[in-house]
Amino acid sequence: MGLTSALGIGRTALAAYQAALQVVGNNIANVATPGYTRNTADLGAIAGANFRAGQLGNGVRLVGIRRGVSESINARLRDASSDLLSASSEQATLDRLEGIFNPLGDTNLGTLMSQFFKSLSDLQNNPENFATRGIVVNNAQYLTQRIRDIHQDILGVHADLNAEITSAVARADDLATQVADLNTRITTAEAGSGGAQASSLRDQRDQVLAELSEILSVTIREQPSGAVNVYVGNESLVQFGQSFGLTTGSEIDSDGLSRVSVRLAINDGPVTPSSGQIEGLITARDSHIASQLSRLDTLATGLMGEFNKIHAGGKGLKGFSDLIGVSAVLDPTLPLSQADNGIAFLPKTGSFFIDVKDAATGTTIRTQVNIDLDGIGTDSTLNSVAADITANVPNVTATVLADGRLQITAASGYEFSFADDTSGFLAAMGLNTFFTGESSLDININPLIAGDPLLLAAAKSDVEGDGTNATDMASLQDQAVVSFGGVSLNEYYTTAMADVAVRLSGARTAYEASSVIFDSLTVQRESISGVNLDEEAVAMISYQRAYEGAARYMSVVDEMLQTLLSLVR
Amino acid sequence: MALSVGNLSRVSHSLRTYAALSQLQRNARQVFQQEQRISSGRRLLSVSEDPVMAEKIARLSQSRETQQQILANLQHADNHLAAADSAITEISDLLIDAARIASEEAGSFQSAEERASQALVIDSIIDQLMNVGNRQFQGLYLFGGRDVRDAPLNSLLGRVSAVGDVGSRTTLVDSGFAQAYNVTAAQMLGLSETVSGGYANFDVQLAADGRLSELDGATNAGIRLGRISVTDGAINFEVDFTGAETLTDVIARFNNEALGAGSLLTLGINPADGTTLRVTNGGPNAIQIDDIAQGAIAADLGIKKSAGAGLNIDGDNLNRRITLTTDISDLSPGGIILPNGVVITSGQLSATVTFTGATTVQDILNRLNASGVGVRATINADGDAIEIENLVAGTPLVIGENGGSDAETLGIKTLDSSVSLSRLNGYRGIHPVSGNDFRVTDSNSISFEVDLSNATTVGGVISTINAAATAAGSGVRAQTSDGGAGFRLVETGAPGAGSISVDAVNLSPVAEELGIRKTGSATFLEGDNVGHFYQTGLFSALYRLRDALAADDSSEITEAGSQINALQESVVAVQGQVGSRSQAVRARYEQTQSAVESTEILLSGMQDVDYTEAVTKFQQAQTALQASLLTGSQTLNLSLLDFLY
Repeated sequence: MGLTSALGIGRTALAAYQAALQVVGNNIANVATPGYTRNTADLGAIAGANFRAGQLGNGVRLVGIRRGVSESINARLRDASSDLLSASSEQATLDRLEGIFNPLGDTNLGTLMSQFFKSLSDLQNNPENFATRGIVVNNAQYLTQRIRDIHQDILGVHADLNAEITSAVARADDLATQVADLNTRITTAEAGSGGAQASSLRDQRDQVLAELSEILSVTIREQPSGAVNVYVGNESLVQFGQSFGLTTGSEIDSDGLSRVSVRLAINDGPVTPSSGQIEGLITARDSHIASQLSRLDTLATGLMGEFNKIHAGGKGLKGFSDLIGVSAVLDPTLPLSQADNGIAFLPKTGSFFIDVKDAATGTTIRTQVNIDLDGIGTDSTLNSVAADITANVPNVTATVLADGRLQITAASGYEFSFADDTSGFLAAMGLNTFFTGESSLDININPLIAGDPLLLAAAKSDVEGDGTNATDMASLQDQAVVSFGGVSLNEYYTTAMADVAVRLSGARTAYEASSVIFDSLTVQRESISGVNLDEEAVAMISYQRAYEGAARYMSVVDEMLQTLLSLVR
Repeated sequence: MALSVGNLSRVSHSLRTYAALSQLQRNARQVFQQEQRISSGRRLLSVSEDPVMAEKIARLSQSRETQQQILANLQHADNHLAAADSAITEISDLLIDAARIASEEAGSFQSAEERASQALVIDSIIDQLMNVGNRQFQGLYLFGGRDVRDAPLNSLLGRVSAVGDVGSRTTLVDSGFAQAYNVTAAQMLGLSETVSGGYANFDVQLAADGRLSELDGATNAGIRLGRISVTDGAINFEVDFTGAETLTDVIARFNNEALGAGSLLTLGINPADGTTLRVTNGGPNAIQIDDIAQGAIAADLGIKKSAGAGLNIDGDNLNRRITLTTDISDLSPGGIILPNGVVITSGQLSATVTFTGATTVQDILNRLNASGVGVRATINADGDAIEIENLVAGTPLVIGENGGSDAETLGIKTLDSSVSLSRLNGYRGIHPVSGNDFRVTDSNSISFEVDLSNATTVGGVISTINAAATAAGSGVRAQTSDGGAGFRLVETGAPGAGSISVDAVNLSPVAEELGIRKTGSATFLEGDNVGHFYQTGLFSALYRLRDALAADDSSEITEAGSQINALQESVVAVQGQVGSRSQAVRARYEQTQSAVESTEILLSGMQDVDYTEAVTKFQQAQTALQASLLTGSQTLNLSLLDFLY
């Protein structure tokens, strides 16, 4: 072995430690870079020639740069981030729902219902009082406005969720494209590199995959080439350098609401993520939003239906000379029990009375109108009921209008009112009803009553101080109602609120559980992959000293060489 | 919650940053939440913090709202009852004055002038009573029933007429439980305690389109809808009557099921009587009908029976009640006809009411009520008759025939067989003597004497006369008079040349008291009206006293005084009822108020923040935040690099 060889050893050392210091420097530079994986310089001795005394090495070299990464933890972390974002999306939506209902607020729906029923309770005591009637009407307007507002707010959340899904899908599509691009670059970079990894590209891909996993849960399979294939459920999203792309579709659901769905761009096939932000948003939209909208609708329709049944069979402080129902049938020749004939609240077999009052004499004539809907023989139709009224009720004419509504008109000098409707016909046709509408979307107070509270049917008789119908209406809040599953309006509202609370509480618990797992895995990942400046400082000193030693060694060899050369002179 | 770090081999810079940030955020959140709790005073900031507790709070809040509504209702009721109680006290005082006057003036030493002046005092008492009856409370008539805008008492030809509504005003005093809280003028002054008419007891015919709710049913328990089983030989079928509204529905469902099962049974209204159902057996089998499970509709419809081979099942009477919409033609098996009308006489007022064109009971009631002579016709509580109230105090009411028998057909003729004789002659009754009371001589000069000492009712008088006539071979028969409030003797055989006449015997006043001490024609003797119907009550008694004082009639003053004394007890009874209702309302008010207080305490415990706890937690959170800020800033600053070079 000659001095030239010795110089070679020094050269390898200088080069190796310079490279190692660069690795340290890169680590330090990326100490705060999110997703950065620390690198470690692996140094190895260069094998030398064999001598009689043994083998003498040829110096040191940088064997490789090792990424401090645990693929299994990264995979688990991606899953955890999917779950976390799913729970987070659900929680955020339910937080908004809770805010919309605001059950602990001063003007929440429950309070407005209580105020409405309290005013009805006052009405039973003072049915003759115009101001009391006005308060009932006002409270009903506040209540219906609030129900409509809540409906619109929920629809707003629904629309926002669709928009968020659309946006998230677009982002996921972009990320999938990035993964495919990085796959190409990594395989190109690592091809023929003798096994060296393209660390920064892999870091970038890890970052992209992590973000993709937050949006939707994916399964990742690394290929020998260094590329990763990405799957959503059983569908392939990225294969090597190709992304099949994600897009959105839109359907109209049974409630008439637009529903954005996730699809593969390449074949428009449905994509059903099992976790991640999109799954959370879809669950929030299709489960929580739909459920609360349905409950609100049930509450509104139950309130309208039951209240109108009572109200329609009562009497105001004055009768009608002419009345047009607010509801219409599509076909007046079909039985009134026909489900798809335009009537929201179907009547049943029963009867009601029409009282016709002679304004001149004050005498009243009561006539019973039967509604036959038992499916035996000929069932009642709107046309048949109108004909029955015209034929049998003196001084009153009933007409089915072209738009399917029923108009009842009294002869000059007469007015009419209704009593004791066991069929629900009057409520079904919107005759003498208090509320109008078919759902929480359009619930409102009958404009006739809003314009003239004297028509508010507080009585069951023609006597001014009769508040017995108001008593029945006030009692409704605590009465079991079939459409509420046999519970009362108050009970149903409480249960609905509890449902939001329980869902949100559950979502919070799920979020916290996901958060704990995510934190734990993040800690583990950072423990393995994160940069520790102290470690890097130690490594830096170590490599620096090694470099200094190598340089000194070079100097010594140089001196030796000089000494040797001086013998020649 | 702190990060779970486990056994870490190394701590990276980003891990330290992550941990510090997490801790800072967590602690800042805690401080914010505690601050919100303290500033809002609420334990729960959102229902999702504690859904179970939130639901309890919601339920309790609803309960409190309901209780507060009930408190307001009870207060409203109590105010009315207190006002009524005060008015009744005034009435009681006025009655004491009237009774005192009657007592003082009943003696034989008072002069006619003095009595006449006391009559004026009674007039004043009547005016005061009328004012009390028309008292307003909060701008509304306190005793007007549900008709709070119109005075319940007005004056008709110088007499008080009780025109007010007699219905109850109710208010919710518990969840789903309404209670009446008003007293009507009629109740308070005893104006409608007795009624006339109601004598027909109609056997109302079934109407196929009539509501089932109009039927008392065969068991007088109404019609309880359910299912029945029918056995027709080997054929069995069930019929579900749930949701049926009318007999038409019941019949249609039965016949539909029978047809479907291949049975030859048909259900219909029994043509034999019109008040029952008949299951017609069109086949050769024995049949049986039963209720299913705990149902009762077969029994209620009166068809829970069996019949032999080929025989029909005839049900029991379904006891249909009269309603406003009941057709007149359904009031009796053959229907009724009312071609002539009735004559109503109230004091000086008289009206002829005809029923031409009337088709329903309401038509009849409307026409009677529109007569303008101070009567109110209603359907009785049992739903089988028409009753008449005399609304005008101290005024005799008579409803008689208008040349036919309509009043009797409707059961509203003033005198009926069932009327007690004590009601005759202004409630003085009749006074039979020992032995026979009067002699009847018919147109054939056949005479017979009648002893009414055992008769107690109008019917008793009629049957006693008729029995005596029969025994004597006379064709004379007694009945109530066409005039409505007296008796009529009719020759049912061949009339003779003479006339029917009645004479007193044994100095008995009975013939006079029955209004028949007179001579009629050969065919009939129409007696005078002696059974006028008077409204019982304070005003009638006071008018009687006033008139007696004005007429200087000692015995009548005594009678009126007795009547007033009796009515005093009635007023005391009404006052007692009002008092007890008021007491019950107040007791319920106090119970409800304590329930509200308990609910408030419970609610406060659930929804209000415990400030001691909240402030302590706030301080803890603040300390934790400060500590995390301090440790974070210090640990993030530590670096080996500071110690090198």
